[in-house]
Amino acid sequence: MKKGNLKHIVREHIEEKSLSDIQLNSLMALQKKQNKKSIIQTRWLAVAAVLLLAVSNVFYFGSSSNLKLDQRIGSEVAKNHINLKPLEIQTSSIREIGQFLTELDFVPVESSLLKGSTKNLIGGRYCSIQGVTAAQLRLKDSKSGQIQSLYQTVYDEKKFPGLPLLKENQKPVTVYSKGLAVDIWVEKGILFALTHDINK
Amino acid sequence: MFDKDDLQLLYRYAYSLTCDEHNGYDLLQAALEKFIKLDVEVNQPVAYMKKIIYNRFIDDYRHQKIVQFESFEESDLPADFDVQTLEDLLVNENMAEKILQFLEPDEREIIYCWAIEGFSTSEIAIKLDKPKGTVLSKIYRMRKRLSKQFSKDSNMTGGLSYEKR
Repeated sequence: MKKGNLKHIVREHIEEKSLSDIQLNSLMALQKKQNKKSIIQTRWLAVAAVLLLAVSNVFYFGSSSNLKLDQRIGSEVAKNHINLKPLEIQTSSIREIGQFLTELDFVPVESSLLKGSTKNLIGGRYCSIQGVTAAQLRLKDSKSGQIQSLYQTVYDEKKFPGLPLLKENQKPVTVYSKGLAVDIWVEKGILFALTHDINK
Repeated sequence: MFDKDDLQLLYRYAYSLTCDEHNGYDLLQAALEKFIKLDVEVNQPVAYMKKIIYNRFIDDYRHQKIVQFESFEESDLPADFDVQTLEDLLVNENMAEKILQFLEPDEREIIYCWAIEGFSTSEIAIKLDKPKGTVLSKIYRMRKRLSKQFSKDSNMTGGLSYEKR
């Protein structure tokens, strides 16, 4: 094994790290938005996009590949929900979230299961489900104040086989992870995963 | 504000503290948010951002563990000891990440100042706003810990050895 001076090795290692184009553009956009100082500045204080890095995905899948798909999704979703990372956009409009998260290859939609509920949209950010780019929407229940995460990503039957399809009158499957329940279903070509407290 | 080169530099700094690309980005993002919110005019925005990044990192890290610069008498150190004594440590090429992960956060800060910014011990002490003796003691202990951890496998992956001066 070839050896080198500690200083040189450490410097090379750190200097080879760089932001991706998406990350850079998001940070630049964040600054530009601030410069405009628009009226809705505070609501639109956009934060940079974070896509889960391939390395962490590989690690994640490696450690959980023996779990069923729905359990893997539930576990990933519960973990992200508990972290509650900063929202990249704060809005009650699903349309505005779709317009803001431009790196998504789908349009975030409302689920028929949530229509008429007391859960109000408060914002969103980028995330991923099983390595696929996704939107993490945050909901707040107007009655209980409970914060929930609703994940949406493109439904690919090959990638996500065996999940319940609403159009075939199948009911969402509920899995449990880290003290949370996660409902998973497919609707309008989108895979949904919704967290909620077990003690609801 | 910051151009792309500044952001890359700040990202590398955040990475050097967190040893994780994802966490490094999150840290930079949070610091940038704070910088924008503060809306202050500073002469050296990059340096100011580094300070925000470091403070934010320490705040986050304290949730897990207390970070402390321990005092240490300079008289306990070899007379000719300074950051340059790290220069003679030889490590395997693929071990940088493992070594960074092994170090404590404040040690990684010192390593960054030394390896990336090329600071001397005195400059590091000024930058970190710590007494020179404290920084020296940190370097001394860091070197000992690195030696203990990695030199036992000097012929194996990750081995650490010394360059003859």
